[in-house]
Amino acid sequence: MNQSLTRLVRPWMWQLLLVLLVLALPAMPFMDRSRTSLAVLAGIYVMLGLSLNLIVGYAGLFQLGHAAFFGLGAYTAAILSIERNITILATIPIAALVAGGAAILISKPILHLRGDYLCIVTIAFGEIFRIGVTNNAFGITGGANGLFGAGRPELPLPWLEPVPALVLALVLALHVFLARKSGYLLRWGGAVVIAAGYYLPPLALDHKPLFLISIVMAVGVVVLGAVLRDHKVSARGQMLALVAVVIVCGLIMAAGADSLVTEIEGNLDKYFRVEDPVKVLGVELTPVVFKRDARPYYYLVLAFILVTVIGMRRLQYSRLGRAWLYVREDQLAAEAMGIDTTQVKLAAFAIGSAAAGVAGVLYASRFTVVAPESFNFLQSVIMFCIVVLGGSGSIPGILVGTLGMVVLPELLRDVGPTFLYKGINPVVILAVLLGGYLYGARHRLSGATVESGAIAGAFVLPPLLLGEPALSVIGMLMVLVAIIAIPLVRRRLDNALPWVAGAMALYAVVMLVIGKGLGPAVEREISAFRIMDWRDGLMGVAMVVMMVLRPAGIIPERRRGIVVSAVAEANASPQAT
Amino acid sequence: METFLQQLINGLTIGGFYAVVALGYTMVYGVLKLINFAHGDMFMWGTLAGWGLLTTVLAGLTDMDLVAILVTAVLVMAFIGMMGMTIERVAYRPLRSAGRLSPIISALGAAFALQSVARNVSHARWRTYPQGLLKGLPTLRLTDEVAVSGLQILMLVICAAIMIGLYLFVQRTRVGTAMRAVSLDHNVSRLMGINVNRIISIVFFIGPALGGLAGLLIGIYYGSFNFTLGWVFGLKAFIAAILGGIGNIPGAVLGGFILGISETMVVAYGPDIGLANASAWKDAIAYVLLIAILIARPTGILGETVAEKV
Repeated sequence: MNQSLTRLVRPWMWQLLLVLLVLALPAMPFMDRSRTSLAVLAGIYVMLGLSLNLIVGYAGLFQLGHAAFFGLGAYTAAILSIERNITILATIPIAALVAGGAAILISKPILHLRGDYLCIVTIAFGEIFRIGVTNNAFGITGGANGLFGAGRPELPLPWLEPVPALVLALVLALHVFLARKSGYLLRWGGAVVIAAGYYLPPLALDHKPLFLISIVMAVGVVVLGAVLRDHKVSARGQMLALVAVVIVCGLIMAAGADSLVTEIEGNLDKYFRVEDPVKVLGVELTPVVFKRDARPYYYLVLAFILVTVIGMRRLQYSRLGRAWLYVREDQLAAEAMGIDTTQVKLAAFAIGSAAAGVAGVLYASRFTVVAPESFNFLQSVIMFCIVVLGGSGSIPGILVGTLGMVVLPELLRDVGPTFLYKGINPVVILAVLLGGYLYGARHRLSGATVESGAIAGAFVLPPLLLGEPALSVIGMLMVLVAIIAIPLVRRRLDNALPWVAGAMALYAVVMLVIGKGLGPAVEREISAFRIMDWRDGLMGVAMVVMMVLRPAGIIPERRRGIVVSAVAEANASPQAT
Repeated sequence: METFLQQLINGLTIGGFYAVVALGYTMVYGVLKLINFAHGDMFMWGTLAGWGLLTTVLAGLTDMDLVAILVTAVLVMAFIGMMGMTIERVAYRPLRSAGRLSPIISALGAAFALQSVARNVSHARWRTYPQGLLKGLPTLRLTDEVAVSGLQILMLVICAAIMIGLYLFVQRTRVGTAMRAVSLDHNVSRLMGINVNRIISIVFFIGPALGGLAGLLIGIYYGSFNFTLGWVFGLKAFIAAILGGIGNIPGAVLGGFILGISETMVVAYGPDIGLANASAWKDAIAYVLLIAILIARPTGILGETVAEKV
């Protein structure tokens, strides 16, 4: 039963589920305004992680000043948007050029430096950038307060006053391009059938806003097709799946056309400011400008991440990407093989920094304020940690790293330790019991069950008997102490049981005696405890623990080839020069 | 000329602090090839621990300030030294064979943790040392305009003593010789009967202990500090170590003095050469200097060019 179930659930289904989850995230009930905003910020950090991964993960260069290039992009976008009134998404190429160009100028003279020297020089550049913009070195960066009023993204949409043939042609072209490129689906025929499938309903129903759904579906179908193809689903399977999706969506559109249109128009008003249409090359385009709400940004950033991931993957397996790998694993050998190591490293710095510049534009357009403190050394460290904690060189690792370094600390902001004893106290007791038992089982103590029961009892009973729930927090802390301390005691003593039991009993008695007075004090301390004060410290401890437990990161990059891994092992030895 | 002399003396004093902290970086780098990012924060912990001792336990001893400071210095050095050994044991030793990226993250993590605890202990406020410490020292007047305060002389003497003492220790004693051996090659040192872990522990005691002492001294010299002191000052001290050629003890000293003197000089003469608010740019000087010197000499001023082993 179980076996057949696992066979039924293919890996691509998980991937598909993940994709759907990511797409539907802003619509989830737990995503309030601030969490959606956080998701957008996390997306920007994923972009930064991807860009830094190119430098640190692929090419193996140290870069602890990445925030400077992020900042260059953000400042370029903000200045152009404020001073020259250029729509902010149009500044992307310029920002990328500025950031990439600066990277080339800066890194050219320092690339020959060995690892740690390079590391410190990149820190130096990052700091010089920050000090420079803080002191308003160029007279256009607004000093320590930064720049206000960068524009929000503006998308020229053709669908409000649609030229259906033109849009259809565009969608078709997209499908055909991808079909030819990656061989998904049944090439031309399949593309035409599917595109027509979701494009015709709005046309037939004469509800123009439904075209928006069509466009979204076009992108969705392309992604779905790529996922199916990646997992070697047969052409017929792909076709069936896609046609099914199209039919279902077509039916939904047809059935709920009126309410969908109201919905779309309502949402449009909520998220976008629709401007007067402009004519470009005979086509009427309606610029829609993002409002403050984070949801549209979520999809915008998602699109950018998608493009970046595809770009990075293609780069990784290109001639340049392989050259990076060789330089990373053994620079001398790479040089001997005729790789121009300086050029290759320069390329890594330039491309990675340009991508960071693009992330900077997104940042500027999201927050509309660009200030020096957003690009300080801590930001560089966070980016570096995103790459290395997740597993340097690995793209899924970047997602995990971002969750750990950006999302988790922000979510912890609301969590105080009071929740431990308010409301879910029985859970705490259970956790303590379980912790005690796990501890016993793990260290194979004689009478582990008895001991863990005794430990749990000693920690749990006093707060219960005294009616001081706050004390259970101390109980939990004591379990942690016990898990660490008891093996140490045990190593020195043949039979730890009487000692442990004695200590527990003593603890319980002491707690029972002083607990009544201690309770309110502990409660006061705990409610005064603000986890934000300790956030950096917890992050630091987590960084150390993670590295000690998993030195190669949480999801390490899969090493390619035997030779490469042999070299990696040799490099990992402490004496490698 | 008077301003110049006065600034030179101020620069030397600051440079002395940079040099002592840089020594800790350079020693650790020598034996482990690791940038000990936590060193700056351990230095700050020296200031913090000194402040804690002088304002609470030893507050009654202000009449005999030299005694109080001596006791504080010993306690601070022991505490920070232990802290260094603990950090090495917990955060660095397990990663000794884990490539070069992971120890950097671990070191940054240790730095964050130290800084966060310090921040909460000091409630993120500026803290001041007791007034009137060592005020009884005589001031040396070189000319009418140029004066060297007794505090400055004392600081310079202590820094010089530390540097010379450490140099002799590393060059002349058995443990020092072992340190030099370990910095050349761990495995061969082990074959020669050196307990590498012990030597590294000793390095991680001496470096932070000296850093902690410098922290205490700088607290007395400036009179006030906050928890970010370690990060800024530590980074600059590390730059001093690199300027001179990392792993090289005289180099760290040289780098420290160069950095200290150029900082005070730029702040003093900046307005004359057209840099209007030079003090706002003070922190950038170290970085600019670093880049300039590394472009000219990729391994620092006194660093040797190491041919890569194949």
